[in-house]
Amino acid sequence: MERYWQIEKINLKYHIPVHVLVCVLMLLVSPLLMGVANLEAQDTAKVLEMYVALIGIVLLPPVFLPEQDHDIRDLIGTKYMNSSVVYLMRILGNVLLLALLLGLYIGILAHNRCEFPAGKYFFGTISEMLFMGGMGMFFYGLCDNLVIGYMAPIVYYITAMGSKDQYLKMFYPFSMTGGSYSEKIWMAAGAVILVSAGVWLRCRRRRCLNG
Amino acid sequence: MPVLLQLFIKECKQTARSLIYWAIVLILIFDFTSQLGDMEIDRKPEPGQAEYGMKQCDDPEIIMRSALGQLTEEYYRESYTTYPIGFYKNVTLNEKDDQKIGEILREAAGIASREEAGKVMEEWYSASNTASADRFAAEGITDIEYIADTADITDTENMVNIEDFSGGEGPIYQESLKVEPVKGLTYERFAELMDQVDKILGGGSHYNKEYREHDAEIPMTYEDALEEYNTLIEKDRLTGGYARLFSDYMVIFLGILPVFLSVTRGLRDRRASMQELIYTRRCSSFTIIASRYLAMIVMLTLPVLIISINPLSQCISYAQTAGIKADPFAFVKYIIGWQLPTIMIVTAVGMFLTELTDTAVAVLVQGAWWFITVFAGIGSLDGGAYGWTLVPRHNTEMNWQGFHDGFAQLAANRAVYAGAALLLMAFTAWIYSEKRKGRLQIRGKILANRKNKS
Amino acid sequence: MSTTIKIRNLNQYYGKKQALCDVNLTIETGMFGLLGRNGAGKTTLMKVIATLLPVSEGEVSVCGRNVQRAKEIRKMVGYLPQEFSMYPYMTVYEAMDYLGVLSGLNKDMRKQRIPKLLKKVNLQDDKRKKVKALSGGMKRRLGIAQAILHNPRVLIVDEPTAGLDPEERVRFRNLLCEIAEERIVILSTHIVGDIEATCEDIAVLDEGSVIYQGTVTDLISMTEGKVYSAEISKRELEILKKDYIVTSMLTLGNNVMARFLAEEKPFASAKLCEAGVEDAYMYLMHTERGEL
Repeated sequence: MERYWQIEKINLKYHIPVHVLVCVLMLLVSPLLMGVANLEAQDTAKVLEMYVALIGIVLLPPVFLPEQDHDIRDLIGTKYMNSSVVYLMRILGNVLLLALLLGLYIGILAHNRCEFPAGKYFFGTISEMLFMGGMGMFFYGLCDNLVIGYMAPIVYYITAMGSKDQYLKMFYPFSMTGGSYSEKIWMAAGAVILVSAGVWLRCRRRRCLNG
Repeated sequence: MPVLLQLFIKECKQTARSLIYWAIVLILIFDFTSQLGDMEIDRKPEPGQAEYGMKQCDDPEIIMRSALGQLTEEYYRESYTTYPIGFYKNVTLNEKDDQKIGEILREAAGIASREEAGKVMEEWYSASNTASADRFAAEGITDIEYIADTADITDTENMVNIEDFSGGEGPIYQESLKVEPVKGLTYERFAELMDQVDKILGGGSHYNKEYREHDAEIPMTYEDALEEYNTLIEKDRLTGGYARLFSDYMVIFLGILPVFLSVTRGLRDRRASMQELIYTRRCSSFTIIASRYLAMIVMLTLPVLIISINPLSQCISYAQTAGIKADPFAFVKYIIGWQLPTIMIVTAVGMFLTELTDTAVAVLVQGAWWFITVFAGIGSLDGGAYGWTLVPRHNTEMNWQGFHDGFAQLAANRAVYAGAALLLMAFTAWIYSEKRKGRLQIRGKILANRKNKS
Repeated sequence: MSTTIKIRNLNQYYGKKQALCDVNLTIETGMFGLLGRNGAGKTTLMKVIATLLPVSEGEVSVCGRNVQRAKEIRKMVGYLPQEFSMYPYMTVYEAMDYLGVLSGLNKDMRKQRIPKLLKKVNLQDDKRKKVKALSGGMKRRLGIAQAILHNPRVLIVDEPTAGLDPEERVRFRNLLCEIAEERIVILSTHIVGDIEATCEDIAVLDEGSVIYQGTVTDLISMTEGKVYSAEISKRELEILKKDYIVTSMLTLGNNVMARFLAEEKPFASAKLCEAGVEDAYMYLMHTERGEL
């Protein structure tokens, strides 16, 4: 147990403070950009789905970044602890952080007299965050390129804005805004697959393509 | 052959081999096919059509009726839509402010209470329902469900007008609520009252000067439609209008995609541990950076030019059958004038921040800029109001007049971005030359400081 | 214009930390060895000459040009960093060609020089190989080829033999000697054997200061009469290590043949030996620190 906590401590201390800071800033500036008080359920969903969920893209793909250098990766690979365990620990930690930030944000929305089913929206938004973040991890793992890891979910997001659910179907991210929740279940399942596939791709023994 | 040119060719080849470049090309193709893939060229309007779309109007009478209609509706719903910095924000008022709005509404439109506003709404709702039922019946559509759906009053205010963003499905125009001002209300007093409302709502509402004039739309008559169509084929020679529409769609993606390419390029030397080998060459920093920059710009513009062959050929073949003299270079002109400056500045931002920090932070910065720009642009999709936006919108092949009127602003906008891009490029070259001499190693410093602390 | 590097009162700082203290060196044509522990300041000194670091204090000139005139210096200097690579997806030839353009060579010159250089470093059969497929030794050789691509008058190589197998290392040294016939080659290393085999002139750096500059022969002669060897038991070795600096040893069954430094004959069985560079280097490092 202590070992896992150690991984997380290193992660918090060195790898993600800047990313967490960015997330916090994004949430802090949101009242300047949009309404965060007295919202109806669908308006609340919009704030969560179209804005707050973006922090998933900021926080999840960089879990592979510390070992970007192949030599470091090989070194870590020789250690007793499987590198996939290290990644999973980091992911778990980052997901908890996301949940914490989202929980706080939803708490503030509720405090500001927004009317919405908090639990449902919490899980809906978390699954969108994980889906977009997982997509980033998947493409980062596939192409060994952080920039592509950011690009994939951003393009996904733009597609959702531009074409609604025409192409994305059950993976349409802004469904709660339109009053539908079943997409979120699909996205949660998709997130699990994307994250695991991302970690698997990352850990396979292959020198990768170059961006 | 000068070094710059030789390096430029080598950079182009490198770009053509990179995964991210082809990902960007695919996304651009997807963008085009999803938005304009089934483009249909406008036919000449025929007399006797049920409707011809909407147009803006500068008649004070109409502006007043339209703004008061909007205010009645929002007052009734107790919910106001504003765009404080261009971003959708829903405002619900406290009792005191709500009363103030009630008073203004009474003074301007004679509507004394919320119940009265509700009555006005209901009348309008049933009237417009009948009107659209008539229209659909005239077109032979009897699916009443569908009509009821689109006319549902709780759903008339689409929150981020996603439909507008994507160009919409098709014209199902519904005339918005119009409310007569009280007799004797001068336009000046009306303007004063509306400014007050805007202030109460925190700015960016439908009632400030810009919005209320924009909101006053009236249905076009056959003559209006014909005139606009004639403008399209005479002034724009058909191709101009479609080149603008093409630019509108492409520029959204071009407002962010180039940053991925330039960040990847910027990080590549470090990643390949090749920085010092390049740093110690005699080649000037300006030549190195300029060759990379030019190569990225050219390689990004190329797919856009190639994609544009598709709508261009559609326009030309239609023009031939309709006897219109199309401009074969219209798309090239618009790509260079409208889209290239966006490509230039986004690429430059990516290159500059990557060279400065040796991180992918430019993705975040450009992402934020893009996000705010696109949401801010939702209010001015139809063109004309180009302002200083990174992504000038003109989501219609029509409105040549708006383009014409806003042209000076657009040209200034584009020139500023192109100029800023070149400036950033020069600045990047300076940073690069400093880094070569061992100065300005920001990333190294951050890492070193961190090490010291631990 | 003479081929000389002059360094006068050079001080280098990284923030508050001083990396080089008052370095004065004159380097002439031929191989010049920079010896010292890891972190002694060798890389810093080389980077200053290669214009990769700004001069904090003092004056450095290459062939009469101040290093602050980076552009002119870069024309004359070839540099091979300790750790380097090239775009992994490029072929050997493409990588050379790319760097050739950056060095301002025109197409004809590149066409003529690159195959010649690849032949010189014995990579002529690998020119179509991708950089990522090269072994460590091949990559080093490619590194040398790129560093002399523009025919520089000064070649700076930082720890070039680290990570090479013994055979590669010998080949590499010979290659450097060949190159040094008509130019300055500055070679840094913490492996004494490299210096012994190649350099005539050397400087030894310790904690940022030059503690020796001169010929290898002079360095060795400093230690003449102070190197002894003795066959002792393993237990005795531990005692010996406490009092003397052991520079090398050879295991002979239960006994050890130890080579060590002493100002005078320490015990009867110790035999005086001829000093080598390794002994001299160890002697120097320890006298400098007052350990002997």
